[in-house]
Amino acid sequence: MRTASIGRRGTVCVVLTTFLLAACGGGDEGSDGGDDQSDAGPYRLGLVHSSEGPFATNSATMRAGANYAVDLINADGGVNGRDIELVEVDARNDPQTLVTAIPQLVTEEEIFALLAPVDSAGCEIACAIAADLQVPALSAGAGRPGVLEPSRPWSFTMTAPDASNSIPVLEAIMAQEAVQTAAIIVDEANATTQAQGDLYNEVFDASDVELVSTVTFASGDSSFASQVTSMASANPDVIALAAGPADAARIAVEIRAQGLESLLIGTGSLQAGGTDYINGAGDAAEGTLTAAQFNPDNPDEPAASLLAQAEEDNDLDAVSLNFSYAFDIVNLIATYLTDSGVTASPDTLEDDRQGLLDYLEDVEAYEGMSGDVTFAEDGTGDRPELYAVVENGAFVISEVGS
Amino acid sequence: MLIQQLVNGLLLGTTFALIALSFNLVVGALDRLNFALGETAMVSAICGSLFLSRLDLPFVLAFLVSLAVGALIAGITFLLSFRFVSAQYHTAPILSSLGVGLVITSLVTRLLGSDQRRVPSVLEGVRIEIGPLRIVGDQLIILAVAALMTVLLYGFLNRTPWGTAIRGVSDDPDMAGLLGVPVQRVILLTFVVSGTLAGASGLLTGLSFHTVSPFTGFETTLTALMVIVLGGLGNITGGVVAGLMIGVIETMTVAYLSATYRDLIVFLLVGITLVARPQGLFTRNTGVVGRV
Repeated sequence: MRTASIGRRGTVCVVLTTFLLAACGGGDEGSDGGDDQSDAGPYRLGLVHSSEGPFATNSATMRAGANYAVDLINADGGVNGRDIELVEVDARNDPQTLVTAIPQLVTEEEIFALLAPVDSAGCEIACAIAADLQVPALSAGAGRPGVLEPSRPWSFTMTAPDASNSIPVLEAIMAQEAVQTAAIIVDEANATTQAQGDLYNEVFDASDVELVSTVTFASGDSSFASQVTSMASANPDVIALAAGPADAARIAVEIRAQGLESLLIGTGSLQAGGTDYINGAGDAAEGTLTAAQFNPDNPDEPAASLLAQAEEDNDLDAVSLNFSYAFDIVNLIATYLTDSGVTASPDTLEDDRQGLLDYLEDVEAYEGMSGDVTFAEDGTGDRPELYAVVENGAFVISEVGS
Repeated sequence: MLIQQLVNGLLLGTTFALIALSFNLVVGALDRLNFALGETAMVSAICGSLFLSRLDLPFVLAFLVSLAVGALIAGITFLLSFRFVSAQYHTAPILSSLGVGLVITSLVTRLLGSDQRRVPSVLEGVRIEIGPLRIVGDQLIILAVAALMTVLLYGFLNRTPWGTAIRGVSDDPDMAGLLGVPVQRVILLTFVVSGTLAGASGLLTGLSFHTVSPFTGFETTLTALMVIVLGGLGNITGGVVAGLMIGVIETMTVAYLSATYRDLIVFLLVGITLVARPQGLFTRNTGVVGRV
């Protein structure tokens, strides 16, 4: 009896295994998409954020956008019958953490792709490590020129580089506001903000604006009284903020507290961290002009519906750039997984990552929450040239020249 | 601009002086450092800013809340990290109070989030101009309140029985005990007064910087350490003078050199002081190691 019983169970197991293998094989060969792989466990995506440093708020927003996308996808039955799981690491603005954590995400957590840090400094390191391990990495915010050079072709950023997007917009603002003199305040302790300082110099040079003062600070400095006093003595028409949004907010408050009425300007990254800037600066932020590449009030579909839904679901006044870019990254990867039907199992992971890379290289006008997503040859996002002005506690977006 | 920068530096130094006073009181009473005082100041400032911005309370009430929160947390820190720790384990209170500080930061970020919070201006639009010198309303408040707190502290320490008891315990706790002074209660009171000063310093610093962040606690502690090493451990007047000195040095460095040299120059100054005059610039003849 026992032997017979074991024999019947064995037969059932063999038949089930055969069916399962056949099902898996079909998925791999057919690549028709939408195969049910519900027994295979979740697709794992790495996400590196940073709870500290000048771009901590941007990072938190990116994280929220990615998690929102994952929640929606999983609530809708997942991808190919499987959930998407985000494996998160808090790098705390520490390069050493990136060096340790990313190989761990790849080798131990077996992530399929990586949502890289939003800040350029973190992204540069994280993407280079991911590229060495041949894992596609996508950032929802890195915009410093050349940030992806060490890690191409494995890395992408949804953001148009600060220089290519912000320089023409800021030059237009200089002309529009008839600016004669300018001052720059630069965070010396961060590569991204230093690049912003160079960008302003280029804009002022090209616009024949006289640079009357350049002052510095270090990320997280508490008091800006000294720097603002220095700038005030030169009484510039504009003050350019080369700072993370939280520091920029405190600088703006100090500028207004000392009675300066100079126009405040920022690059696109200030608008990207807009909530933190506006909340931190309050009334002092009013009238600030920045370059922009993302419109939270985009009227085009499907962006308009996705933005409205995100605002309602997350109780947001306005969806921010990093939120929408991260949302689109997750959906872009999910679209690839659905269309290709890949399993991203340990045996096929390398090939499947290569498949995602090929897909991202060729993606044409993916329509997401942030508008049309396409990548230039250097892996950076192709975005519209917009400018933003803070009015009544919110960034109002307009097209340059409008 | 030089005079304006000097005033900026003195105002910055005022907030340093208050937190240094807070540290020095504990050093005086116990010859120990309470490393959670920076976080105490931070929590007090966050509570004060919440009362100012969310509940729209007058500054005076928010300030009193900050003082109360500072006093409460310092009292709890005393009980957790000092009261029941044997005097023979010199490093135990240091590590324990550092741990309390970390717990405070974690609790604040868990409960209230890690965002920096805006401290609304109290006298918005008020500006006094005397020649090239310009002082805004909030700076006046910082100056006035810091001066008032310092005078009140001096008055309390020198003119009240409890203040006399604190000075007695600070000089010789054994003798004070033999004379009937309730030493442990006096030390608890010293912590409470020290926490009150930390609370005041926290909110005034927030007012000066326009924001308060949950991650500034340890930074405040480090600054206070620089100040009290320079001014002399336990020396109240030395702490005030050193606080003002460091404020001016930091401001001038940022204004005329570079922000990145700011800490370097202060650390150099403190390093030189430790080598050349370990008892501090203004204090009795006992070195840092001997005191703590």
